[in-house]
Amino acid sequence: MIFLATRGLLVSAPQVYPGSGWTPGPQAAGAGYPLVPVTASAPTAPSPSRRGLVVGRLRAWLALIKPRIIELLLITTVPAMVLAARGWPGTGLVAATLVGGVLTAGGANAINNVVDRDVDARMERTRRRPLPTAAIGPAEAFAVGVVLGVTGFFWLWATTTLLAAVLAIAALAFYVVVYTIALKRSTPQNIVIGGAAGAAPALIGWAAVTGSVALQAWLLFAVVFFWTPPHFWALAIRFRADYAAAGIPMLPVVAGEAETARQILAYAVSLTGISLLVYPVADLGAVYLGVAVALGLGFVIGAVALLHHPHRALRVFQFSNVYLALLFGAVALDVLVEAG
Amino acid sequence: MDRAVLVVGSLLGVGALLVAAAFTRPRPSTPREVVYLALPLIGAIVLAGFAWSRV
Repeated sequence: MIFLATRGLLVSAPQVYPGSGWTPGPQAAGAGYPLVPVTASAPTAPSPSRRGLVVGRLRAWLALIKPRIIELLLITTVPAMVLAARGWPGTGLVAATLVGGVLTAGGANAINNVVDRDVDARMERTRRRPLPTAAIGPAEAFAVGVVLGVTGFFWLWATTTLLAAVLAIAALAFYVVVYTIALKRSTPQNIVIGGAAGAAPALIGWAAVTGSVALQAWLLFAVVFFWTPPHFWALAIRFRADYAAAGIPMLPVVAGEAETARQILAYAVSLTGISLLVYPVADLGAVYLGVAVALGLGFVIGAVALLHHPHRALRVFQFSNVYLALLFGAVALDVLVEAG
Repeated sequence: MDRAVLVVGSLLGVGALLVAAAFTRPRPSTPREVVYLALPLIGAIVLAGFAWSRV
């Protein structure tokens, strides 16, 4: 769940203008990052139109829910649904599940923004989020998060299954309470354990179709779970100084780049093994097996290279994005090809 | 083929985490950190066990 939010900031991160007298404007978390002079005063600034205020507020809300995370929902939820149904589960059900997933994940992200607003303000990578820029207040952000989460729960219950709804709201609670509040600032294993929240969409997708959770769903969950540490540690190597400045004990901060690279390699190997278990258990075919082997080799080779070249961390991070998308794409493709 | 993939998958999935847990530096200094380190390993072992029971 975390990587796509951070990836979004990597891809579209606005420039920093130290000492220039300019700073990102209040809509900096949205697209465009308008610049306004630090010294601009209210009397000389033109009054924003009502429409401009509404658009600005909507942009802030959108940034609050970290829309990039929706991509992870698409990547992991839909293939899980296809596998559960052994074919296309129906466009209506897929759409309803994704809407519910977006609502609950958006709610979790909004509340996460509230809890982490002090840390976000200290990190270069996150300081332009809506709360650090005061584009939105913490009470409003919290209310948005709660409303989205509750709405998502009832939406999923009404349109899919109760189990899917319960899993979604449980993932929200786990993300906020276990990851953000309990683990993030206290242990370098934060994203290892916290990764369970990001892996939940695989279970939710399966439960939306079947009303239960089978071993195949747990294996897909495990793929995302074991993918999360190497993915996020690679990013943390790149932004090690940022995390250190914010006091977040990410593994590269606590144990150094070399140890982190070794752990990335271990998790890449383990991830490859877990992804292979999906093949016999889910009764998939050559398409999936070939993709899983090729992607696993690629990930392991990238992790080995990282041992000797820490500056390649961003490359490993980017490959991990491709890895997850293609592996889950192969699950869906394999099933759909077989179903004809 | 299924059995061969099960063997390779289980060895890689569990073995790599075992090695990682054994050589983690700095060593976990509290029982809580040991639990954090053990949880993914236990999860991988349980999943591999279930996989073997289903295939």
